[in-house]
Amino acid sequence: MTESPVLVQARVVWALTLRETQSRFGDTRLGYVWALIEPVAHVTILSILYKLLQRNVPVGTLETFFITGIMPFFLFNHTASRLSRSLSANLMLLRLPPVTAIDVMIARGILQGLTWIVVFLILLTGLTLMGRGLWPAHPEICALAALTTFFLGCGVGMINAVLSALFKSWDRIYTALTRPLYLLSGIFYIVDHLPEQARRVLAWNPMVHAIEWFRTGFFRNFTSLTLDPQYLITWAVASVFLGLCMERVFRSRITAR
Amino acid sequence: MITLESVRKSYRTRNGARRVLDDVSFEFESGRNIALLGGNGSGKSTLLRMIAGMEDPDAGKVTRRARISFPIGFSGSFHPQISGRDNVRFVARVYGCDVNAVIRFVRDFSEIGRHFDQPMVSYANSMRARVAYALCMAIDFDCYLVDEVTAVGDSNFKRKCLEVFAERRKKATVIMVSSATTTVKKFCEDGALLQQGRIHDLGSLSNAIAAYEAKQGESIV
Repeated sequence: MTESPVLVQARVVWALTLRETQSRFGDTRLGYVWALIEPVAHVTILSILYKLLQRNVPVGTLETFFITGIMPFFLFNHTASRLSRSLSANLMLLRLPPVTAIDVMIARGILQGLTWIVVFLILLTGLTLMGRGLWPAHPEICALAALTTFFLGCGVGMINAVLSALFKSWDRIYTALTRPLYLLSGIFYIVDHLPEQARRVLAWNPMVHAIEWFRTGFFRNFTSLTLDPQYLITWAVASVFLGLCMERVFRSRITAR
Repeated sequence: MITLESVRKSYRTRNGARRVLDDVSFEFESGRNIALLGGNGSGKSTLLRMIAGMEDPDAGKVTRRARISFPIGFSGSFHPQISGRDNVRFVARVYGCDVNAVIRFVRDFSEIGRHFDQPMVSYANSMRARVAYALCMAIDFDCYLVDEVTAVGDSNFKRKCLEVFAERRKKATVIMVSSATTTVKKFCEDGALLQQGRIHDLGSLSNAIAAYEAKQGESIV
């Protein structure tokens, strides 16, 4: 009576996803609310700041411009950090024979991705109700950009999860290294408007492409000279591939803790 | 049912690497209740975890063609911050069981009352052990793995454990590792010796026990 491995894995991932839903959002209830509060706070603060400075955004309304910067950024950042900690937070589950590290990461990824979609839709609906709404001009481009960004987050998160299992301080080092990303990803400005020198440097940052790509899909009249979707896709594929390889190579050391 | 093919495994101790299996091929057959006898540090537990799939071999292959349990009484997979009920629900889902039936069985069998809905961090060790034991019995495994422990709790509870385990054993296979020869007699008819990285299949359990005790005597002298 052997069960197909695919069926077993699907069942494990499903069980883990339900578990994650409960343990992330069940304990405090704040988890779900926080997922919504955080982007709202960022968008509100940036909008107020721009109003006070009497500055204009290059495209769309104040709120939608910031939302289309913040949300792809959070998609990457939160997915990466949720996956980074997925193994250390679930070590006991990994001791159950059918549960693998990959299952745990897939479950967290699914939950994170779904949460992001819900939050994004709530934000746009909220704005629409306030009479300031704007909906994606090309939803399919937004979806593709978001999906690629999501996979980049998954890949980086997987790499981080393995590295933190090997080196205790990795989590802190990564956080410190990527802190400037918020400023360097074009969340509240457009990279094309920067001096050529700066633009060239920032074009190396995959998150710049994630945000520009997302905005290209969202705003009807937005084009970007910097955007190279293939560059982002390469990053996403490479990071997922590297993450999977690292998990395989260091599997015994991950679970032996 | 479970096949080991050229399996190598060593684990680290304070005195360097210790070889558990050295290029071992072995077939565990369905319906053959077998006890693997070995002294302390011979790697019995490591071998059992490898059979269970909780650890990978360093080289070679382990193939499982049945639903294999985790070692009976194993409570290391419980999450301390969530309740016994939620932990049990998770494991039942992982194995694709009727979740409510498993929860009911564990709740009734473990006799821990309202603690069942408390986070497991608040459990006494004996409560954890009872939940873990009940959980393993609640799931319809084809093969139960035993690492010394065949029953938990006080003498009354132990009797209950042995009753339910005997019931499960009618339809399932038992693979047991042990250093004590008395308990294995109740559950296994066949025996093997785990020694210096090899599994020596000695057919009947009495042969294995005789060889094991002879070996133990040697090492004492």
